[in-house]
Amino acid sequence: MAAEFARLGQCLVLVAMMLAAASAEAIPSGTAAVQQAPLLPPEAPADGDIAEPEALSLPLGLQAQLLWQQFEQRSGGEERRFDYLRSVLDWRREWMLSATTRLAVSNRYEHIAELDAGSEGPPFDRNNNMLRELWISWTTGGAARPIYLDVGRINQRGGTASGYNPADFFKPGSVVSATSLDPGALRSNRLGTAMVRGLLITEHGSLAIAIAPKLSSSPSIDGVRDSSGFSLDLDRTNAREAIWLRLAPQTGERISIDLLGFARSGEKPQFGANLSALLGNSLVGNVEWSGARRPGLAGPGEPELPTAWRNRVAANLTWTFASGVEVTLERSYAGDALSREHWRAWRAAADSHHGIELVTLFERRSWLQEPLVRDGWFARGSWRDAWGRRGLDVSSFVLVNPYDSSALWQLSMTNAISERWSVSGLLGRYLGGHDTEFGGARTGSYLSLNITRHL
Amino acid sequence: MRNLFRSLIPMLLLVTGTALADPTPQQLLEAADAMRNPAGDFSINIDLTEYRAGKLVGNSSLTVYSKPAQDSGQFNSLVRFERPMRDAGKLLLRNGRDLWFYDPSSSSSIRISPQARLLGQASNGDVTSSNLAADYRAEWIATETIEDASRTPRECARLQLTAVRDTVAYPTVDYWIDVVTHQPVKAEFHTAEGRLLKTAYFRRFEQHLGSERPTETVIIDALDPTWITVMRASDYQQQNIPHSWFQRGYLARFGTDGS
Repeated sequence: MAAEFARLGQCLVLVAMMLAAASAEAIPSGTAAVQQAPLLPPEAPADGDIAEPEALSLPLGLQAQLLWQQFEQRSGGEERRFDYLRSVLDWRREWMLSATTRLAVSNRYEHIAELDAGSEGPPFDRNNNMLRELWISWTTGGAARPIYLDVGRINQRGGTASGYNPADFFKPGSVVSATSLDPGALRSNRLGTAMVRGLLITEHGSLAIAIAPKLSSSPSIDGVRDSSGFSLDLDRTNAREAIWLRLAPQTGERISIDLLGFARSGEKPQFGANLSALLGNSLVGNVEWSGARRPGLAGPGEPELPTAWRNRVAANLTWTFASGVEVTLERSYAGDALSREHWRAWRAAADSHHGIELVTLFERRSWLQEPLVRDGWFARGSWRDAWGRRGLDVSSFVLVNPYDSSALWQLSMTNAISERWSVSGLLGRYLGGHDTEFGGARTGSYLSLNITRHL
Repeated sequence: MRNLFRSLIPMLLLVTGTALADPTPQQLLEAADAMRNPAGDFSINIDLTEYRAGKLVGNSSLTVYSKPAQDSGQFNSLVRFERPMRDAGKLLLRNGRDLWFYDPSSSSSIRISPQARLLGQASNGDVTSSNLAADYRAEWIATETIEDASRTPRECARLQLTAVRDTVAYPTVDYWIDVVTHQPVKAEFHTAEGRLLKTAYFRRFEQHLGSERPTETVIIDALDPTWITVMRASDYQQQNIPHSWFQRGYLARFGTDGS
């Protein structure tokens, strides 16, 4: 027995010695050579002497832009180019009128002049003023549970998707003029809706409600109306009464959800939800849904599909690469849009007397900002400070009709050359055969060069 | 037999745990965290200065509002971009791994991933307040003498930090903490495969809100060591920050209540 204990003891000592040897290998000696540090930029001066950054006041909150635009248009098998000069004053500003009152304004004025109009009539020349937002807000309820009441024209955006936003209920008719067809830019530059909006924020989440009155007797909500001059375009945004509700409970770190309800005079109530989730260190997923009883689009010469429950959904994944490049891939579905078979029938009938109906259908869906066909794909890539160059942003998107393999593609680059000046370029192309959704568009491509001064 | 084991246990402890002295690696990490982050609610200004091959290429300014989270041992942070002008007024909200970006020009908030780059080389986690001890398990590696940011030799505890959550930006971190002052001196951030992403040096220690704190962090890119970002913290202020500021629904309202 004693001998066994002795052997056991010897084994343990041996193990201990082996561990000691391994440990000695794993832990570098405290007397190893000093690890050198690289030469670093100098420290800031002594405490309190950090140089304040140059004061950059934005007294006006104004951007002055000058754009040269070229559109290549197809007509009767011919392609023609049209050049325009667009001068823009874009104003976004907020004022704190008191500790509890805020005033916000967002307005865009444009003058568009055609260059080298050629022989066909007088050159295009138009002024456009778009009062996107003008609202006043009051706060009450204290910092822990603030309540906000907003009155005025407000751009109440909704939705977590990137290319198609089925739960963005105030979007119909809101886009008057666009220099970029990026869906994100369209949402930022559209007209707001005149409304009264209340918002309650608590530690458990937020609850918002908005009521939009009817302020126009024009029935243009279902039509196509050109806008020009200095019109408030209330017929676009406030032709019918509407009510909107959003409940956004505070959830965990990885998932967030909004529940939505919307009703507009003359339409069935709509319900919606936004879901976003962190799926990994570099991956975010979003789902946006709305559902309502509504009719569906049918083939040429056919009556609308009967009113039934129809869903609209968009789901995407956004991946951020180590370089900073972000790529979004989005799949969308609109249950009330044209099915593959119906779209095939429209394409076959496009050259017949149904051609005018098809143009009207295109314009109506564009006005509503709803897709023409049920299924869609959208992808966007963006790179902030591209190639490590501060102030250089590159982005591109493509919108695809999978039924006819046509697409709208756009590339834009912006370079902030100084704090107040930036230059940008934008190129877009409609791709596909002449009988496809995007290939059949009157515009074949567009190019824009822009210089902006922040005032 | 009993005496034999009694004699072996200290020997085993001696050879396997020589480095484990008081304080523990986790306590050292907590001490360094406490030096980097004031206790309670606070705000600071951060200036980011970016250099490429010795040339200044970019400047950003931020204001960071931080409040300890209730359960996680972490901070919730709200970051307001002050400069450059193209970013002025933008907001970044961080509640743990929940990150939201708000752009006033679109009045919309979008969820972003921790990897998303808004500030050039500095990550979102670099500018928001974070307690490493809440996200990492610290292990003692060695006592080493290294040069600090001013190239002065410092005797440091080298800790290896291993993420205890799968969503942290850096799965492993090598961290050097001065054994005497417990000041953080240097950190190396690695991928899960062990590839070095960036190195950070902590420097310019000053008294703020009751403790000596590193007011500058110098970040060096691993792929391009000439790409250096200096993060300067200033204007430390203790202030009560309402919980409502850390709701995504609040982002569009920031600034309304005198905030």
